[in-house]
Amino acid sequence: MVVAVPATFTNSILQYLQGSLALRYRTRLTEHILKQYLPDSENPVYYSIHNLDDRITNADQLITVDVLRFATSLSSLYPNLAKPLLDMVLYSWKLSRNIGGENLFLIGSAIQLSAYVLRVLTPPFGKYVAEEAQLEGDYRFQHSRLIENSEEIALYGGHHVEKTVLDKSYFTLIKYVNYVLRKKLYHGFLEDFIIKYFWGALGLTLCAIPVFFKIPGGAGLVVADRAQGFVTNRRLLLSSSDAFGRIMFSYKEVAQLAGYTARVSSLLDVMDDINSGRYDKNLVSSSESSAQSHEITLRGQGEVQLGPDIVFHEVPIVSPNGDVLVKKLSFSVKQGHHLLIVGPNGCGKSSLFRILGGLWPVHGGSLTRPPSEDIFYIPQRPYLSRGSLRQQIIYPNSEAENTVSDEELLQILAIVQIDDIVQSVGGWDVEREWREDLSTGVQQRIAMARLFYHKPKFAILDECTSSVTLDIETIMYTHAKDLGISLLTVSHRSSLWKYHNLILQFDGSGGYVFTDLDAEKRLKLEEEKLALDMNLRRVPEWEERLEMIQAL
Amino acid sequence: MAASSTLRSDRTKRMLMMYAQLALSLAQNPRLALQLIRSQYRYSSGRIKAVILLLALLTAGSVTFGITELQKRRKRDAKERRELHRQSSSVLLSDGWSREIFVPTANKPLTSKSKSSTVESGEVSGDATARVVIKPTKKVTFEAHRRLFLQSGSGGKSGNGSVAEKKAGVNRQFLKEFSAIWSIIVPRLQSKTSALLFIHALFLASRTYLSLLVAKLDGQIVRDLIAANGKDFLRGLGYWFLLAIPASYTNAMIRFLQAKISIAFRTKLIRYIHDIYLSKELGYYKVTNIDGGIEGADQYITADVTRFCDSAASLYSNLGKPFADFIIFSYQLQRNLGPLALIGIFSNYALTAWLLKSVAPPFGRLAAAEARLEGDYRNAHTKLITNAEEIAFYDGTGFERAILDKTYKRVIVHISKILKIKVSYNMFEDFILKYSWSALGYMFASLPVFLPTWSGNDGISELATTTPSISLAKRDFRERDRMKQFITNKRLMLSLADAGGRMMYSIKDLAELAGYTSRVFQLLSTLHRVHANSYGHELAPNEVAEPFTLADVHGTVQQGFEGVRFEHTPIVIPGLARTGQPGEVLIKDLNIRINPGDHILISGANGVGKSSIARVLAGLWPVYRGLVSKPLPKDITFLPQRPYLSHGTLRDQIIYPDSHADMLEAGGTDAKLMEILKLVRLEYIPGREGGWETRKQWKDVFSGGEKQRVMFARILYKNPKFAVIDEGTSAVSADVEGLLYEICKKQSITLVTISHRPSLLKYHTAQLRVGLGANGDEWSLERSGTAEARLTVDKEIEDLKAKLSQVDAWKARRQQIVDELSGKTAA
Repeated sequence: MVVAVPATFTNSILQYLQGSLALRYRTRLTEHILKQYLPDSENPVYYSIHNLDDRITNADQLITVDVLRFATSLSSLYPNLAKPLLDMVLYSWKLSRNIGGENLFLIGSAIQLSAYVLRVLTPPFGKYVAEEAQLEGDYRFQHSRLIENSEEIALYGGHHVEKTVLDKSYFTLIKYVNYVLRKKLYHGFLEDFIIKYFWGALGLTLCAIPVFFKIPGGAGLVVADRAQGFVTNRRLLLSSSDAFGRIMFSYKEVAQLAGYTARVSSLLDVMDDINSGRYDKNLVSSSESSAQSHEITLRGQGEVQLGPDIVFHEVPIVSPNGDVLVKKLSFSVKQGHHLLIVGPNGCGKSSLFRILGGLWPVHGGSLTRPPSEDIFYIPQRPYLSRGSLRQQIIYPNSEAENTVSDEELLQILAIVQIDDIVQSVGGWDVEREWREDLSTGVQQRIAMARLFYHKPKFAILDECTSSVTLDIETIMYTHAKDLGISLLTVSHRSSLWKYHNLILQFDGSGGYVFTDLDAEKRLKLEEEKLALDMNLRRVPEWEERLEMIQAL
Repeated sequence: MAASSTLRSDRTKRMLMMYAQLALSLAQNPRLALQLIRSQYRYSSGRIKAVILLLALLTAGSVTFGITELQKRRKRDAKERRELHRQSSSVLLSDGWSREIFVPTANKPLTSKSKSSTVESGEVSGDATARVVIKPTKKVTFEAHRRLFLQSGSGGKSGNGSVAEKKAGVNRQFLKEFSAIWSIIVPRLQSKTSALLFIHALFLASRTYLSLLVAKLDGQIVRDLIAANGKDFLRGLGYWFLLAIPASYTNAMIRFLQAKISIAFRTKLIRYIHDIYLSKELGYYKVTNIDGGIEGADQYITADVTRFCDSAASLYSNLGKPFADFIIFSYQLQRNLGPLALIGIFSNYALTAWLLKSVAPPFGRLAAAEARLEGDYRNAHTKLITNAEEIAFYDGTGFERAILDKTYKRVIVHISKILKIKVSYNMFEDFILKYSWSALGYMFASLPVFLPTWSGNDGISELATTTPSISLAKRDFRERDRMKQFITNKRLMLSLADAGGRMMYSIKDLAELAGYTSRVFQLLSTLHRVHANSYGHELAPNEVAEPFTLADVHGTVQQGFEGVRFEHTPIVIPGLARTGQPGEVLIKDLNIRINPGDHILISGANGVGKSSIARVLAGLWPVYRGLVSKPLPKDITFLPQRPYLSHGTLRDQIIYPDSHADMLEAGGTDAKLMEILKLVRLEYIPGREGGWETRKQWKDVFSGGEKQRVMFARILYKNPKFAVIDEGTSAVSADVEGLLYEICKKQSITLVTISHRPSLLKYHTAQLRVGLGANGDEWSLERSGTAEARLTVDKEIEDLKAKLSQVDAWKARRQQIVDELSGKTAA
């Protein structure tokens, strides 16, 4: 009983330490990964990893679940291995004194042999574990996607399709788990047989040796003595075979750990690759010959310099999957000028910005751009972060960095005429799921308010007024120009033309024109073209009508 | 010899014991019972031999049977294997109810390491698929279960996470919740789950019996060893190996079955959840947007359900096994050691359980909180990935990192708190279970030696051999026998203590299970609440609901109307059911009727309720008052503001929400799809992307304008009578926009367009303007002149001719403009 108190204390402290160790592993690893995943430098790895690279499909699963499992598995491995190893060495030494080294050697080699057999017959659990984690992640991803797009799916009534997708993803996982389980079943049978029973029998034989064969200076002949010797040996043997058994059992755990390690290290490797600019993406190209030339373009590395203006010099616009949209693009925008970018869908307008913003690598030529704090981007789909209403305006600054008072923020909101939402939501500090609660138009206005808050030198506006009315659009553009912000706009709306003096026009087949823009003339031409188009489309209708009337 | 005579005199008693054992735990198992009965006719060593042989035979038999069955099934599957799994399709089976889907199975090339796995090699060849038959949950089941899930909470407002966490613990609430979930997991007594549970119990019982045999055999071998009886010793070893086969088979099976049970639980739950979550009641939308009872349903469905099932299955195994062990061992011990020891053991158990329960920290609540925090952390990551591009453009990296760090910190702080709490509890538990129990065990095991009259069989044999006129040989034998008894008893004691200890350790597991149960129950009750549309609490007879809360929904929805009609309907943003706040009224009283052919443009400023009209019409939001009439679902299509591209092939994008099987059934072909793509000027897409079967992350492949044109292709594919288009052309150029609208009109689809751009009016016959009046909750409807002034026939001919003669000039002028616009002539 006296021994019990420190022993229990040791045990639970051991458990506690193991738990803390796992936690520490996890924290260190998570910190390391997050530092690379969300680096302080320009390269947004969290974007590149999904959009420019095919190797990692669900980083969230990797960072949250797999890191946790890795840490737990690693921390439990140490005590699982260290203690049995120590035990085994100690007990074997004692045993060899009791029954003689030769016998121990014999038995030991029998154990070795069986352990080898077991190891050979062990299926690759590490791979199974990694695969299972991957499937689990896929299933989770399908669910997240469903929630993300719930409104659209609900409007389409697409729940049947989504359910099938989910069911399928789930059953793929389950089928795999079942497959692994069957493997585990036969392996478990073997393992049990060898470790528990075969070794147990060996142990008994070992104990029998001093009884049936005389050992020099061995045991006496009295039954009670024999019993004592036996019990001691037995105990030693049991402990040592138990220890060895535990080592064997933990072989499986090591294999699992290897699986998690493979998952986690693949993430780390890919992040390293991305940081050094190596991407691995399946090239999707229509023809083989062009794929080759794409590869050449993809392999190239362009120069990126910082400067006061935006200058593209022979930069190819290449999408990450290898489509060359424009072979060589050259244009420049000085501060104070405003550029309009037009062209048909899919011609590389947004891609241009992605290259400018550093999201996509520059594969050739040279690019001069201002430092990133001087360029501000307003995407088509406004991104509203977590946090208070104030946070939405000052994003990506945090509240601690904010030096602007609430009154001034209110003035900014008043410019885009949404100053009343501060009252209607209940103040600056209210936290909500903003993306759900605000209409797209209001979200776009908030995005515009961000621009007025940050007052950068350049602003990239990607269809960012598609959901606001004309008056608001006018206010936004004139105010931005008053603040001295150079605007780079992508839009189909002709109403925006008058705010720009430069135009970059893509023709959709790799060509482009970069000239000054005469908005009014262009507007007139465009209108005329629309009217002509409408008339031309109605020509067959008229012809039909004419025939009908004439036939009467 | 005296010993053998005592053995013989014991025989009747032993038989009785065996029969009692039979009745106790193996009554349902004819196989084992048979063996037991047979074994009665032999001496102890003979009995063991027979049992071992039989077990070995049976094991071999069942293994071969299992393998042949498996192979038969594989062959059958291989025949039915189809290519359909590539599409996101499911096929309705002939019973009109269940569906079958094909999923890829493990197609890992086997390494040379696993040569022995001939069984598996059949399965892992090439691109294997497996057929899964899904039986959808019947509507009746949901209705029957509704009572279980909706009443047990104290009112609908208890869906709040923190409330549920506070309650999580081993108490009556837990039992109630668990039994409700149980009715999903094990719907009938004949279901697969209960069969698994039953087989698992059988294996548990047989394992207990086998470990008894092992204990006995061990004792025998040791006795022979001490007696230096070489022949018997070798025979004993032989039996040992024979016994090892069924024993290790049983052990492996138990682990296998435990995992199987967990999977069976999970499959039942997941299927149930999928059916209720993705039904036409739009659970997946309403859970977050209308009810708000749970946040991050994905975490609940994937992580928490899994944890719940694992925890429940392991608890079943952890409790079931010790329980069977406990009964059998304590019976055996009682026989050997007498009632005194048994009473001591039992009171010891009771005391320990009480002690442990009273000092245990609230593990259930802690586990539930941990699950919630992990979910938050996970969600922060998912959100980062979904919005990666926007964040990268804003350069919001530092900000997002701060958020992730914060959520992670919370998880870590919580886990280390749990760890700290566990230390003292573990110490206490260990002290009680490991040390005080084994001390007691030695005490009880020594009972026959020191207090023979108080003890069972061993005491009797002890008395029989301690007569004074005993010879030396007999004394020697007695000593050996005592040795054997002590070893047997000690083994039993240890097993018993182990069994009891496991039951005690399970207290902690039980508490954790309670935590997961409360999470899963919360999910299910929220889903049921949404499914049944019964938010909020039931109103007392005289109570009047606050206007426009979810308890105050009185509108009517009429399906199958030829047109769209709103009658005295307010458009209200619903307040979340969790908060119980009233909704925000956007439009006070909408009265409008849209007949086929009335193309209508809904316009207005931001946030006045344009899109909300579509949401009410689609049934996403409740109709608080008045009447909403709409066509059948197949006659109306909604085109959401944010283009949605599903997971699947290129074809699936166009035919969404139909599946490929639906398309084939309706007589659709790829050629027809191609025609549709031509209409929306996307005919280059299949060529660019590599055919209809290509699977990609379509969200990232299409540009903004392409997405919107794909959405129009969907309308053209479905060809409904009405199409509600919410800002569907904001990213396409003006000429394509006109084209898209005109194609739709040509297919006699009535357009209801939601846009703030007045330029679209030219494609419509009427304009509904919302957001008028001082409060912005009024509206007006203007019909633009539809019919042109009637012209005389002659004049019309003249007019047409004049127009047609201009065509060439127009074409030339158009070309000129195009050139000029593209800057070719500007230089």
